[in-house]
Amino acid sequence: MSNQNRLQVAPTVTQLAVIKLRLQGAVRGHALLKKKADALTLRHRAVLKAIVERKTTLGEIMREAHFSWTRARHAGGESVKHAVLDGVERAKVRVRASEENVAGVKIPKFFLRDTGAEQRRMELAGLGRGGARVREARGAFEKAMTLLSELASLQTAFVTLDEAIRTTNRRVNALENYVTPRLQNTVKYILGELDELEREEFFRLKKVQAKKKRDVEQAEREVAEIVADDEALRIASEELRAYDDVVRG
Amino acid sequence: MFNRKHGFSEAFVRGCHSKRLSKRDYEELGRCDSLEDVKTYLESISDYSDYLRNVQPPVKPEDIVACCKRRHVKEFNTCQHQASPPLSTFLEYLTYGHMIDNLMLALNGMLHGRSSEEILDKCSPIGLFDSLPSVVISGNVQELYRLVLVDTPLAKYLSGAVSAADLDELNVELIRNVLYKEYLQDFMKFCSTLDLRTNELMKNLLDLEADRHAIRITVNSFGTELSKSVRTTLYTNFGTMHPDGFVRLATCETVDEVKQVLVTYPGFHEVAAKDDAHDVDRGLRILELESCQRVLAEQFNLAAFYAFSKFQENELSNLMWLTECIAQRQKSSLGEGLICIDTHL
Repeated sequence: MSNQNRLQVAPTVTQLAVIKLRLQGAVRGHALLKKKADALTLRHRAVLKAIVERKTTLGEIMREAHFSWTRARHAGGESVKHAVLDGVERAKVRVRASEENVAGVKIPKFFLRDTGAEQRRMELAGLGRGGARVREARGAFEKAMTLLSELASLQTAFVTLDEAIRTTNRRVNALENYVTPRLQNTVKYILGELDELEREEFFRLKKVQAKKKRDVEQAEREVAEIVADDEALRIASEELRAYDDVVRG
Repeated sequence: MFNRKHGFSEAFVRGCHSKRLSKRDYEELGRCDSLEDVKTYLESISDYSDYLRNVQPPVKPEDIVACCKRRHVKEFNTCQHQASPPLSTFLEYLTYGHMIDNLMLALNGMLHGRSSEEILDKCSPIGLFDSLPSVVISGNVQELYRLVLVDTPLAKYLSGAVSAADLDELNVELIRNVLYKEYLQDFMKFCSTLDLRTNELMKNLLDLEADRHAIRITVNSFGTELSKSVRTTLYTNFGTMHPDGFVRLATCETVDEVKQVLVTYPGFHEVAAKDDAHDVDRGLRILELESCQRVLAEQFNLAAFYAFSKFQENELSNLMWLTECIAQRQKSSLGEGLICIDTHL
């Protein structure tokens, strides 16, 4: 079983050190990613809450704004519409995007910037009829626009965070359920193999020793034999010499 | 004498006028929940059916308003085609207001480089003058000035008030109001050449219009860069409040001050009692329509045509308000914009 779920490595001590290092890294990475996921989720919930809040007010405000424009048209007649349309030279507000960093995730953030475009033509739109209403409508739409830009930031933040949370969670799960156990199994495997090797070595050493002992014994025995042979030779020769002496003497 | 020349026109106008939407119609329309209902109702009760027939669902507020406008233009044109002097001249004077709007539209559009079709499309058909297309095509502000001077009845207003060089620098809204002022003054002068009764009635109506013009400019100029001296130049040289009322208006800085000025005039007493600035405007409109109503009660004068056109405008704005309210589901505000003067005596 553990055979399948492990890395294919040579079971050596160096590999063991490498794998152990990797395991350590994986565990630490897991802890960090978990923390990141938690932070992101927290932020995600806050954003969601803000979105809901904004959206409920937005409906009302947009309706108000549109209706105030209707009022302006009603007070000023058709001409006021064209006066307003043609009175615009440059957009008064522009949307600018910047980035915010939440736990390493870059979230785009939009905000309105007043371009300071001169509204000289607009200023007097509907002077004869309905000018006050036009200004009211402008105020209402400015309010609505601020809200819209906020909502836009929140929505993109929501989507980005959602994506980020999903990848982070995937990574956390991968580390937790795949990478770490695999590394652990590898370590176990290497340790097992190393133990096995050690045992084999021990056995071999023992064998060698036994053989050495046997060799020594045999040598000794041979030596003893030789010695015994020598002795016998000497004795025999002495006896021969004695025999010779007897014969000569 | 009057009947021989203008009797038919007057009868025609009165006939059209009796077909204006009445208070009851507005009540019924106010009960509608969708624009389809409004369309059905309008088709059932009035002459609108011819105009509404081609409107395809989904009905938009603009469609209904456009139908109403087409109807008014047709009524007016029929009237104008059969008019003989002095009625024809009188009716021409009525178109000058639209003409000024169209001219300003052309000027504004040209300053912004819009195409001529686009500009002509927006122009009100009542105030079209023959050279308007060529004016628009000329595409040059100086040329426009020259053409207007040569070809249109507005020449006398324009030459008196603005020079060619001012045209692209001066604010278009200012020009519009200067022209309108000149137009009112000229209309007044023209009316004094008409018969006694018309003159009398028209004097009342134009006085009111002049006051209204002044009051609106004053109220609408609060919070803008329009200086008080410029404001004074936009006031007419007649009106019930002329001259000291206008002098006092010129120095006003808040709506309350305007009201204080208004209180001193018996005609505007009621209007000044209103709280909201917008109510003042509404009050003035009601006042205007009421005097138009009184004018219509009389016969044998040209002022009836003026009153008639004012009622047309009112119906248009009422319908626009009504359809928008229904389309935006803001029916609670219905009463805020509708002005119903019961036209049927």
